[in-house]
Amino acid sequence: MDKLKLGGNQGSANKKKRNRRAKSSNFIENDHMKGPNFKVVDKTSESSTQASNMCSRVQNEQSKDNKLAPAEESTINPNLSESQYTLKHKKRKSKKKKSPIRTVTDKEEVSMLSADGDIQLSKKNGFGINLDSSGQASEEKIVVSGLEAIKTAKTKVYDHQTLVKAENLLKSTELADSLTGTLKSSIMSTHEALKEESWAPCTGAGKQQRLDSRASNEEGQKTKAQLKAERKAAFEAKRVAEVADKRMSDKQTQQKSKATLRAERRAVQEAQRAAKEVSKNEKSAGVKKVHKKTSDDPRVSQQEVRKKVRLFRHLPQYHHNYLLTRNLRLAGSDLHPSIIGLGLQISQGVVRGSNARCVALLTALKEIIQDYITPPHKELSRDLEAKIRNYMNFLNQCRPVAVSMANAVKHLTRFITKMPSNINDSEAKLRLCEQIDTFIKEEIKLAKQAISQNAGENIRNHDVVLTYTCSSSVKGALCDAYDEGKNFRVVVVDARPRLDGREMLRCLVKKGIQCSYVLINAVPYIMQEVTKVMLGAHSLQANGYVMSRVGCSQIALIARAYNVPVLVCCETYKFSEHVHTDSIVYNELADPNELVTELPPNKQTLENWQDIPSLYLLNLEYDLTPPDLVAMVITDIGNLPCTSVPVVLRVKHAGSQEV
Amino acid sequence: MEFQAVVMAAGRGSRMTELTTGCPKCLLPVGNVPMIWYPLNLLKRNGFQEAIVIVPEMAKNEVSEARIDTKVDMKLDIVTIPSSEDWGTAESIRYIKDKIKVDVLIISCDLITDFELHQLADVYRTHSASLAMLLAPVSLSLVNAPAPGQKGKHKRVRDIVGIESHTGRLMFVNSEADFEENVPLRKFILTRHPVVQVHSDLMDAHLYLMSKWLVDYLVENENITTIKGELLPSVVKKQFYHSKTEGKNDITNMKASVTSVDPKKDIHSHKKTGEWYDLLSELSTRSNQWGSLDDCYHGDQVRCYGYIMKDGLCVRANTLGSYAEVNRLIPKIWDSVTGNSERPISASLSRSKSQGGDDSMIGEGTNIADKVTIKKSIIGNHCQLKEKVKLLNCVIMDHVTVEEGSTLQSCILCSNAFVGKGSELKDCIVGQQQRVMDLSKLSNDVILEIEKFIEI
Repeated sequence: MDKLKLGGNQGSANKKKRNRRAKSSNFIENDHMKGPNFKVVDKTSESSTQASNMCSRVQNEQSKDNKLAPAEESTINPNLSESQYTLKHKKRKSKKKKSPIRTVTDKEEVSMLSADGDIQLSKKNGFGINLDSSGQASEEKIVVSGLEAIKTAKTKVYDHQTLVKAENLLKSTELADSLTGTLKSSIMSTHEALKEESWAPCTGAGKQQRLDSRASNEEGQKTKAQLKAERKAAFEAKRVAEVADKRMSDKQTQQKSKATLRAERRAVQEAQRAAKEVSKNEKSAGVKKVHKKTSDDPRVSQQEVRKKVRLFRHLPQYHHNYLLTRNLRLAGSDLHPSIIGLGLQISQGVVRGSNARCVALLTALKEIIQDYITPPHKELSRDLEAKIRNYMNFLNQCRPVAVSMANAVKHLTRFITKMPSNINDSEAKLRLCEQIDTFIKEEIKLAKQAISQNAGENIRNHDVVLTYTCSSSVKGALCDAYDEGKNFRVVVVDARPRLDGREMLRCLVKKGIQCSYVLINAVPYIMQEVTKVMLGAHSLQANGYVMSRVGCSQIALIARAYNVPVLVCCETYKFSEHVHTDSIVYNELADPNELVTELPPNKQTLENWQDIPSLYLLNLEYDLTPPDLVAMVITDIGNLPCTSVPVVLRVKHAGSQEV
Repeated sequence: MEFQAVVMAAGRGSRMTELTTGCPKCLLPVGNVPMIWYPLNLLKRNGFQEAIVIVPEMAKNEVSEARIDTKVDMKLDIVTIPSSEDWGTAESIRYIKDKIKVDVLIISCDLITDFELHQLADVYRTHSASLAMLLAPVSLSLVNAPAPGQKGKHKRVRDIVGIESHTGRLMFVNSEADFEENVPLRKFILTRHPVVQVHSDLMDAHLYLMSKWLVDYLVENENITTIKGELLPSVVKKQFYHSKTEGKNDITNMKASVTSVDPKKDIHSHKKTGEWYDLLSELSTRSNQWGSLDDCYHGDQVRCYGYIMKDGLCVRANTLGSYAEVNRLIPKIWDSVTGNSERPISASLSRSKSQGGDDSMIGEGTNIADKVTIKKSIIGNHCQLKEKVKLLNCVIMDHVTVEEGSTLQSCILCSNAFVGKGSELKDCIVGQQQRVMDLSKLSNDVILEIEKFIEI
């Protein structure tokens, strides 16, 4: 019954959306949005249709199996690694000279490049389709740096109070949605194509043509130059590493691990240096040349780098926190002690779970604010914001910051920057602490209660609820439902290596709820008796994808196969403007050692897995569940379909703008 | 500021009275630098700009004369404890309670180590511990080092330490003397912490990180006199005992059980758990030890951790033997122990034809005549070594004169000592301003001014 109803909801939502899309015409009109990797400068109303035309064109071209018509002046770099689905489409003014087309004949290079997939992405370009076009007027450009850009654009727009009104916002959101739809398909095809090429580099190599242009467009060139530089650097590093490896092979492993860390740092530095140099020499670009880095440091070993799993090498790799605190002073450090403690607790997993991490962060920030004294000749709003940014950088090093934390800090900094400058310190501090307390209370504590209430309505007597690992909101919901006197059974599904489900099981059993405990490989069997699946979420994305502990999408898929509705519990403060369509683009890598250290019965088997060249370990933290596998999302503001994330975000932002 | 540093330098050197009769223990030279310089240097390297130094009153002048603060470039707050009192470490801490504002790092003045403090601090921070201590494997060479002037071995008092190996949680820390035949371990503790390693070969480095509230607790419990002997074992033990009133902070009761002062001023007010602590623990999805229905950390509020040094060097120069041995080692370990610091006193080799190896250190203004052989020795400032003097394994403090043709082996010569011509000393200690007659042959002897010795 639930399902039917929900389906109806979803359908109507979609219909509405379609209508909206049809209406949508105007793109964002804003001259101030000049982010690093995108520009949205559009004064005409045709742009949206233009953009979508662009998409389809790109798609068509892509399907031509990379045989590009040079007349089109399109550039597709087929030898990009699969992790970057960058697609560049450029249409230049007819005045410009035709760019010389360079074909990469060097088979070796191509195969080497694609085999190593050695393009290290700069974080900002992490993902995206670059559409670059200039229309009739030379200044009109749309560079949509993929979905990321749309997202950023949205944020920017929201931040820009005076220029953009609510109507524009709505339209932009809708446009974004429509673009998302179109782009998604093109991404998938590109993705496939690129993937194929990189898996079979040798066969594809001959065919591959790289069309390079002495482009007038600075941006395009920059990225290209950077890529080139990075490629060079990585290649160099790898070469050096090989030499180093030979030399190092008889040394002890302990030394090695230190060396690897050093090597990693070195590689990054080299890449950066190279990138800088190239951007300096940009004027003479087009000439394919980067200074060769000659580093014969024998200590450089690329072991860690080599151990990156190919598809995920663009993500920040897991590193032990040993080095983090090494250079921190025990007294008089720039970082507040509570932040250092929090960072360690998060990275060690003492504080775990996105809600808990958020609460811990906010309490730490509260302590910081209480201890804060505005330095002379500085303003509280600016100085404190800078400090908090600094703290967040540190936390990000400890473990990538959760969406919940980022949102909470965003909320707080918005409040800080709006703080009038004429109030004194103690007053400002008081207000900030109040703000933090209200945030915790309203967005987390009360939200949790509201969720358990809403979820409780969905739990009936004789239900068998399946839940996966440990989610604080699901835990609360189940406990509260039990307290209400409902009679149901819970299947706790757990997965290696962390076995968080034990914590869930512990709480439920302590409460007295009837539980079964299985590992994820038994889910298809157990699903037959399950009537509902309840999952927690790390974040809910603007396109309705649910980001959650790795394994959730698998559970959802199996539930779909058995026609069991999947309910996701998620507080609205964890909604994110990010748009991702797979778990590769953005994810978090956990300690790969977790996978081997607890292997029974012989612990020693894979102890030196770093030294086994053919072995890679991947310990993913999250995955994405597509919205069509999720029946509904239980939030603090009610039961919603996944797709209503943008609406909720818009309302929230509008609300915060008013305040 | 995260930690405040307190250097405990009020020790009397009861295990090396031969040396400390004329010189406070903390100023005894190790590698021509006062011993206290090493812990201060360690603190300095870890970012401490200031430290509280506790010294006995009678040593105050000497300590301030030594100008330690300029040597380490730190702001030192030298606190003297009245000489009339024979205070333990806990009492000293209680004495300076008003100066303690945040968590404290307590370090002994005789600790010489290349340990990186952040490792201990990380354990402390990660688990929001109440107390964290550094444990180091005892190096046998130091323990068995022959102590000059002593017949028979000094009996070492061992510590028995029980520690949960994968977390570093301390189960018990006691001196050997606290137990009779058996080391008892409560069953319920073992149920919660099934893997406990019991060490008898670990040395307490006397480096503690202690939370502020524990200091407050110490202040209120005046019957605790020492940190190591009383506070530590009792706090470690009380980790596992919860209050009977479930839900309330269990330290409240623990406190009440120790002293029955009025319960309003209990530790509950000392140990702040924060407003949102309950929510946080409710939300945390951290998995506990498998098979237990207890909360995280089994609901323990007080948590004590130990960090066992894996490699590196950790020495306490608190006995004669270890003092002599550290001095012998110091030329080799200088760089690692001091983090490549410049030597505060330039240790230059004299230009004479004497043979001095890399294994020796020679202080400023020391005159070394021809044909002097120096091996594995530390020679202080302004010493006079006459011709044909042979030194092996010796520690010679400032203003010492060794006359022609003397042979010294494994000796400690305190400042202003005088050794006459042609003497042969082996395993001897020559006290401050003592004279050894010409042509004397001594071994395993202590030459001290008797009256002074008694006076102390």
